[in-house]
Order: sequence, then structure tokens, then C-alpha cells
Amino acid sequence: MPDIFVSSPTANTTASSGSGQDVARANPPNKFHLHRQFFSAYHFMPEGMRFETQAPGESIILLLRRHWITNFFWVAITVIFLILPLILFPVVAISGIIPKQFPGSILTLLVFVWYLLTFSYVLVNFVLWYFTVAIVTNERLVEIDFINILYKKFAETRIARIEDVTNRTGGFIRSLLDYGDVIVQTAAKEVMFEFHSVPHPEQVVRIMNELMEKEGERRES
Amino acid sequence: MTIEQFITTFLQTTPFAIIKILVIILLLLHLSFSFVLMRQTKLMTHVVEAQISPLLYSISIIHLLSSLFVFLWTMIFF
Repeated sequence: MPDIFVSSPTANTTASSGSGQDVARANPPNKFHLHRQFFSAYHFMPEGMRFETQAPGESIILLLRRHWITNFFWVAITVIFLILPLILFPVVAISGIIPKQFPGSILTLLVFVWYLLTFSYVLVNFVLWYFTVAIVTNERLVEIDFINILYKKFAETRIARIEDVTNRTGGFIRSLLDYGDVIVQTAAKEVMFEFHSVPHPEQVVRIMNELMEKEGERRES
Repeated sequence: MTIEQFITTFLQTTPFAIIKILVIILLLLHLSFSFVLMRQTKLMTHVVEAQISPLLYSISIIHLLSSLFVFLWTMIFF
């Protein structure tokens, strides 16, 4: 894990306009990282990404989603949904359960409807996972939470207002795959950000603490 | 003829028509859901912009077209 506020030896030594640029210089993205980052749950200095209220000069330092293992349940159900008709529908066709007065196209319709609903199920789950993100920029913390397709929760706070960052892990799977919850307490009363099941929670806490220190130094100077 | 007698006669004589009506209602609901999903995906891609956002939007359009196809197929062939 590179130190996010230490410039690389080749970095431009002219004055920077923000800590995000320091971070970008310290961590140049490689080609492999760029190709696989779009479906990743942990992006450090993501390239080619923006969010709705991003200000000019504001750079994304961390973009987090729920760990990929949290998708296991719906992926497993999808696999079952994909395989089941291959077994079930031939049995239904052979057994003659369907009344004679129904047209032969009823089985085709069942296949169409089944796979259409499976497609919907996959798309909804994927879209909700993909767009539910926590973003840490050089200036603030943003949480975009799509609870369902129609309901969005958007919360943000300045880095200067963050008081405490903790991580919470536990259990066999979480320890094995290194993911957990990150809880951010702000200065405002009862305002708390919770990033659920994000990968590498300790690194997230460390980066946010460094950002808080940097912000504190900047305010003092 | 009471309402119960009418419903019983209707169910006994035209079960296929009932199934067809229910399927069409279901598919109409799904069609509207697909449209909403497409619109919401478009909105989401504006909230978090990534290079694959157009791809996700395209997939949601394919989903809508699939729903429309199944609906039309049911109306014509079922």
C-alpha cells in the first residue's frame, strides 16, 4: 500500500493545487488496473470515473462498493434459474401435465417469461450493486446508496468534519476475504456514515486518517 | 345468474382465455418495469459516471426490447 501523500521521485516538484494531485502522481495507474477496475469493489485513484456533484479540481481518492462475495447469493440463484428450465421444462413437456386445450406455444412462452424474469433479476441486482458506492475525495466523503431502483440516498460530509473512522470486521468469510464495515463519525449530531462490506477496511481507515491529518495540517497552516 | 355462478361458468368454459389475460397483464407490468429500469439506469449513470456506463445503459435498453418482444410474441402467437 503506497503512502498516498508522498510524491514519486519523477513527480513534478512544482506546487500542487490539492492533495488529490499528490496522490495521483504517487500512484500512476497501470494498464491492467485500468481494464479490470470497472467491476472492482475497491478503486484507489480510479481513472475515468466521475460522480454527479464532483467539483472542478476535486479528485476521487477511493471509490468503494460492497465486496464481490456479497453478490454470491443472487449469482447462485441466477445460476439455478438458468439451469432449472433445462431440466424442468422437458419433464413438463413429456409428462403431459399441461391440459390439451392449451396451445403448444405455452411452453415457449414459459421459457421466454422465465428467462425474461431472470434477466430482470440479474440486471436489477447488478445495477444496484454497481451504483451503490462510497466515494472519498480529497475534499469530502460521499455516500450514494441505491436502496432500490426508485429510491436513492445521497449523503456527504467534508473531510474537516470527520471526527472518527473505525472499521469493523469479524467472522470467517470476512477475515478470509478481507472485507468489513467502515464507520465514519462526523462532527454533526448523530450523523454517521457506514460503508458496509467494503474490501480492505483497514486500508480505507488508514487513507481516511491520512486525509484527515492532511486537512488538519492545511487548516493550521 | 349470480356473480359466483358467472365466475364458475367462466372459469369452466374459458380457462385458457383467463391465463392469456393474466399473462398479458403480467407482461404489461414487466414492460413498464423495464421502462422504469431503463430510465433509472440512465439517471444512475449520471450519478456515477464510468466508462462502462453506456454499456450498462445499452443492456437496460436490450432488457426493455426483450420485454417488448415477449409481449408482442404473446399477443401474436399465444
